[in-house]
Amino acid sequence: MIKVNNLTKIYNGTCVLNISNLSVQKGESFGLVGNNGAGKTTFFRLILDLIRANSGEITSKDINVAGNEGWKHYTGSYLDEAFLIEFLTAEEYFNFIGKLHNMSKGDIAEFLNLHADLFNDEILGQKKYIRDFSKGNQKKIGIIAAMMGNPEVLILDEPFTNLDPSSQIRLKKILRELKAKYDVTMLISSHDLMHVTEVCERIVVLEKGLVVNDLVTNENTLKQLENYFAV
Amino acid sequence: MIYKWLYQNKWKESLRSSIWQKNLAINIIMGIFILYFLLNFLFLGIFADKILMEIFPDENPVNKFNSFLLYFIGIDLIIRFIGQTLPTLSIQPYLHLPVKRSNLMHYLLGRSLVNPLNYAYFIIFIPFALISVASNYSGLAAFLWLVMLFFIVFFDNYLITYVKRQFGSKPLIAVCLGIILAALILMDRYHIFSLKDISEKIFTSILIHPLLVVIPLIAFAAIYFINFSFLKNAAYLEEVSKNTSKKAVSTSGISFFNRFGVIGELMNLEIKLMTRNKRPKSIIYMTPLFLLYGFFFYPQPTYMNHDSMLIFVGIFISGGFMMSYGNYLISWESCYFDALLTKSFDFQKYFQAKYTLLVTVTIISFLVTIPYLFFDIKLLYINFACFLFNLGFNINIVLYFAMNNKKYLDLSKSAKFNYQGVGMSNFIVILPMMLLPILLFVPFSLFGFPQIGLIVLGSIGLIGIALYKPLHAMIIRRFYVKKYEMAEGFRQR
Repeated sequence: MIKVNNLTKIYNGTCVLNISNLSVQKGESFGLVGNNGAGKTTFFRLILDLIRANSGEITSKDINVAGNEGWKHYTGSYLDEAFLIEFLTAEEYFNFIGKLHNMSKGDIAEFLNLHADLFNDEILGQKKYIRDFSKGNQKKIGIIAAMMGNPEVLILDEPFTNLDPSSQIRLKKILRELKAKYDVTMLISSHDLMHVTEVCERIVVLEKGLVVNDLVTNENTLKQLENYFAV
Repeated sequence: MIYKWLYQNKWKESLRSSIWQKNLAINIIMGIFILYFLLNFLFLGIFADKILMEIFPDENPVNKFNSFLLYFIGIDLIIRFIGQTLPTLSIQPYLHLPVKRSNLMHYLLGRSLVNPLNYAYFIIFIPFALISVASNYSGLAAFLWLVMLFFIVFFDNYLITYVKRQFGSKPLIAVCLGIILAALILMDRYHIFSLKDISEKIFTSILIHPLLVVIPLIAFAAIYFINFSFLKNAAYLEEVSKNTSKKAVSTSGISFFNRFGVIGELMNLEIKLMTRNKRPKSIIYMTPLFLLYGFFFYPQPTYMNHDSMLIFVGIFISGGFMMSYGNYLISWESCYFDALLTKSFDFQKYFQAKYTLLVTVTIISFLVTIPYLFFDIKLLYINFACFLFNLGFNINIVLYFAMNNKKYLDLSKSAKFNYQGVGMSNFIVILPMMLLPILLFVPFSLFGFPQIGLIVLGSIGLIGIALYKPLHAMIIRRFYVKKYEMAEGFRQR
C-alpha cells in the first residue's frame, strides 16, 4: 500500500529522517514509536505530502504521493490542531469534511451516530467553536473527522494523548473494528507503548530518524519495547 | 518587592515581544510614522498659543484652549474605547503562585498607566503650559493645570477599563459615542448649545482657584478604587478568560452557496472565517470606509481637477476590500492549511471560490458607489474603468502574490496596530496595483486624451477577464510549487 524508498529529510544540515526501505501492506496496522525528535511526525508529514523530501520518495498504491493528489481520496489523517478549523462548531466541521467526501446529510448523521459513544455527549450540540473545546475533545473531533469517507488508509499522530481513559479504550475498539471490518491500513504513532502494542500488529522504532527496530507484535513485544526505551 | 518582579517580567515581555523580531524595515517605517506624529504634536504644542491668538485675537489663548478640552476628553474616550484593553490574561501565570491577589490587581491597573499613549498628549500640553499658561496666569497655575490634565487622562484610562469590563466592547457603543460627539460639535457650530463655553468655564476656574485641582484627583482615586474592587472579585480563571470563550453564534453561512457543491462549501467556510474571527472582522468593518473614500476627495476642486488622483480613488473604492483582505488571502487559513492540503478537493475549486468572493465584493462595491456620479458624471467613467482594471488585472495580482505570505496569522487578535504576520511583501504588492493604473493613465491625460487613458485601463481589465482560464491555470501551477513553503511557514506559530 505504502512504500518508502531511500527517503531523507534534512533540516538545517541535520538529517532528521533517513529511511532506506519500508513498506506497509494493505490492511496492516502499523505502529510508530520513538522519543521526541525521532522523526515520527516528519515521516507522517512526508506521507501526506505536507513537506518535501530531500531525496527518495513515498508511493501510495504505487503512485508517488508528492505532486499527485489521488491518495487524498482514500487517506484520512489527523496529526495536530492544524487539521481542525477552529472557528467552526464541531457539527459544521464534520459537515464540511463530509461534503468534501461527497457524503449526504444523512450519511454524515449516520456516521456521527456510530461514534456517539466516543463523543460522550460532549461534542455535538454544544453551541461552541472548536477552539473553545478542551484538548481531548478537539482530538476526538479530529480523529473522527479523519475517519469520514471510508478511508483505506488512516494516519494518526499520537491519537491517545490527551484522551481520558474511557475514550482511549473506546478509540482502541474503533480502530480494531476499522481493521477487522474494512481492512483499513493504519499508521499510528504513539508514546504509549501499551496502547500501540494493543492496536498495531507491527511496530517500528525510530531513533534520530533511523529505523532501529521492526517488530511483529506478539506477547513479548511490550516487554521488548520497554527494555529498549529503559534508561 | 513583588511589584518590582512583576514589572521586571513585563519589561522582559516587551523587550522579547515578537514585534522587535519582525522585519527591520517595518519597524523603521513604523518608527518614522510615530516620530512624524510626535513632531506634529510638538509643533502644535509650541505654536498653539500663536495659532489661537491669530484666530481669536481678542481672547485669552489659554481660555480658548480650555474650551476645547471637553471635546478632547470625548475624543480620547472614543479612541480608548476602540483601542484600549486591560490584558487580564497576562496575570494568569501568577494566579496560582503565592502572590496576593490585591497585589496583582494593583500591578495590572498600575501597568495600564505605563502605556505611552497616555503621555502622547502631553507633548502638546507641556509646551503649551510652559509657553502660554505660565505667562498668562502663573507658574503655579501652569503646573496645576498640567497636574489636572494628568489626572484627567488617568481617569479616562480607568473609566474606559471599567466601562469595557461592564458592557463589553461593542463597536456600536463607540459609534453612538461618536454620533453624540458629532452632534455636540454641530450644536456648538450653530450656537444651539455650547459645550465650548462650559468647557472654558470649568477649566479656567482651576487656573483661578488652584485648590480645585483636588476634584480630578478625587475622581481619579475613586475610579481607581472602583476598578480595583471590581477586578479583585473578578480575578478568577473563568472570569479572566471570559472573553476568550464565547458562545457560538449561529451564522450558519449562506445556504444559497450550498448548491454550488465544493466551491459553495469553501465560500461558506470563508464567510464564517470572516465573521467569526476578530482580525478579518475588523477588515470587514473597514470596507464601508473604503466606499466612503470618495467623500474625502470629490468635494474638493483641487482633487477633482487631477484626474490621476481620481484614478487612485477609483481603484481604492472598488478594490479596497480586495487589496486589504486579499493580501492575506491564503494566510487567513494558515491555522488549518495542513487540513486543506490533505483533504480531497481540487485546488482549482479552492481558487475559484476565492475568486468568486473577491469578484462579488468588488462588483457590489462598484454598484453601491455609482451615485458618486452626482458629483460629476466623469466619476462614473473613471470608476468604471478602475472597476474593470480591478476585476481583470488587480485580482490576479492579489491571487498570485497572496502566496508570498508565509507567516502564520493569529485570527483571534484584533487588526488594530497588529503587525503580526505582516511582511514587506504586503506593502510591495499594493504598489503596482495602485501605481500601475495611474502610470498607464497619466501620459494620455497629459496629452489631453483622458478618455483614451480610461479606455486603455478598461481594456486591460477586459483582457484580464477574457484570459481568466489561462491566468488561473498559472496561479494554480504556482500554488502547487509554493504550497510546501507556505505550509512550512504557517506551522511556525
